[in-house]
Amino acid sequence: MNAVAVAGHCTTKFSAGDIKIESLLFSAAKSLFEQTQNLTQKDIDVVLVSTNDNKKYLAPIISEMSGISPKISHNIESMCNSGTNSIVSAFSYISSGLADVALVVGAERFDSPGQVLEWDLSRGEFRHPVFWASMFTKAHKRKFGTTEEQLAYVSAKNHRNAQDNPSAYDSKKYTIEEIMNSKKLTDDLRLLDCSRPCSGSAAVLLVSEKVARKFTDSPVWIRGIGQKTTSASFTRNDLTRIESTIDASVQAYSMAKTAPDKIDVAEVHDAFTICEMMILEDLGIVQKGHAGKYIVDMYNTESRKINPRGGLIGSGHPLGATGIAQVAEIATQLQANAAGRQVEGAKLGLVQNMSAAATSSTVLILES
Amino acid sequence: MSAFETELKRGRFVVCQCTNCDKITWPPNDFCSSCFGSNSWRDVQSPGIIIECSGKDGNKFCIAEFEGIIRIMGAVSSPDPKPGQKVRIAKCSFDKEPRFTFSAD
Repeated sequence: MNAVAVAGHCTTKFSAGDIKIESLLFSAAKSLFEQTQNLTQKDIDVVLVSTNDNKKYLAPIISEMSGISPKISHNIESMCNSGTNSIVSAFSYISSGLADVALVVGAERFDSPGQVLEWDLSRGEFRHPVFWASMFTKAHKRKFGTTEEQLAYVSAKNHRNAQDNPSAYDSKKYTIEEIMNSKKLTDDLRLLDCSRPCSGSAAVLLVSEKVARKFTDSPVWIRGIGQKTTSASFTRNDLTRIESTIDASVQAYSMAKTAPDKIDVAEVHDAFTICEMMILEDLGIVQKGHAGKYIVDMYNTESRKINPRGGLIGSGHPLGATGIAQVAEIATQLQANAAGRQVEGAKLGLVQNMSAAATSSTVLILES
Repeated sequence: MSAFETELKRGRFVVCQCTNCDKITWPPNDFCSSCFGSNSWRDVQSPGIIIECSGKDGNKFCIAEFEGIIRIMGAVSSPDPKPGQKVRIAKCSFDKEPRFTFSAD
C-alpha cells in the first residue's frame, strides 16, 4: 500500500452567507491552488466533492470551473461525515496506485438538506438533531453524574479556541454563566450547547509519497484510518457510548500502531457539548465517565489539545466541509503553522468525524 | 406510502415480522433485514418501557421500547417519566412524519 500525505489544505471563512454551493466549492479549490507550491491543474488525477447539497454533478462542475480534467471525479454524501468519507476515498485511490494526486473539496450552505435524516421513522416527530442529543445528554447525566456546568465548559473552551481561528463563524467568547443562561431548547440542552449550521468550504490535497515533496516541504502522513457504521436509525443504539467511534478508533490506532495516550492534538465532532464528552471517552483519551472533569481541567489550564480551531461549536458546522476542515486543522497543527492556537510540539494528531446521531464514525490519525 | 405509514394514518402502530425467520425488522421495511424474506404486518404489543426521556417547553418526550426491539420516539403524557416505566400507545398518527403519544401503563 502506497503511503499518502496531506500536501495542501485550506478553509474558507464560515458564515451565514447565502452563497451558491458552486461558489463555496470553487473558493476553496482556488485558495488551495494559491497556497500550494508547484500545483497545476494537470497534476490532479482525482476530484472528489463532499456535500449534502441536492445539486448534481458537482465534482465535474468544480473540475471544469477550475480547469481540471481529472481521471476520477465524483461526489460523496454521508451527512455530517461526508468530508472524512471523501478523504478516505481519496486515500484509497492513491494508496492503491490508481492515482497520485487527489483534490478533495467540501462545502455546505447554511440551509443544507443534510441536517435531518427523513428515512429514520423511529425518531417519530422528534427528527431534529437536538432531540437525539438530548437523549444522549440525559443518559450521560443519569449514568455518570455529568452536570450542566461541565457541559457548559465544553462550549466555553471551544468558543474561546475559535477566537484564534480566522475561519470560524462565531468568534465570540462566552462565560460559563452566559452559556448556562442561554436559551433552553430542551430540558437537557441550551442554545450554546449546540453547533450551528453555516455556509463554508474547505479543501485538502492528498498525494502519494512519490510526488509529495513537489508540493510541500512538510507533508503530513495519514497513518491510520478507521470507519464504522452501526446503523442508520438512531434509537437502536446505546445512549451512553458511541459504538461507531469505539470501533473506528480501534481500527485507526491499530493501523497507525499507536494508542490514545500518544495523541498530541485532536479535532472531534462536537455537534453538541455532550458529543465531545462521549467522543473523548470512546476514543480512550479519557476514562469513561470522566470527560466532564477532563474538560474543566483543559479549560482552566488553557489547553488546546482538543478542538484547537474551536470544533464545530466554535467554528460552525457546514456539514460537507466539516471533516475536511478538521483534517486541515490537524495538518496545520502538525506543520506547526497554527499561530495563536498552536499546540506546542504536536507530532501525532487525530480527527474524529461522525454522522446521523453518531451511527457512523470516521477516525483518522495523522503524523508530521 | 408504506404499509407502516398507511396504518399509522389509521391510528394503528404496526411492525413487520418475517414470514420465513420470524425476525422483526425495525425501522420497518417490506423485506426482512436478516434473511431478505417477505415481511407481514401486525399490531405492536404493549406495554413497552421507557428507555430515556427529556422534555421541551413543559412537554415530555422519550424513547420507548416495545417487544424488546422496537424503539420509537414520542411524546409522553406522564408528568415525570422515568427509564424503566411501563407505557402504552395512547395515540399514533402520520402526517408527513410519524407521531406517537405514550401513556403510563
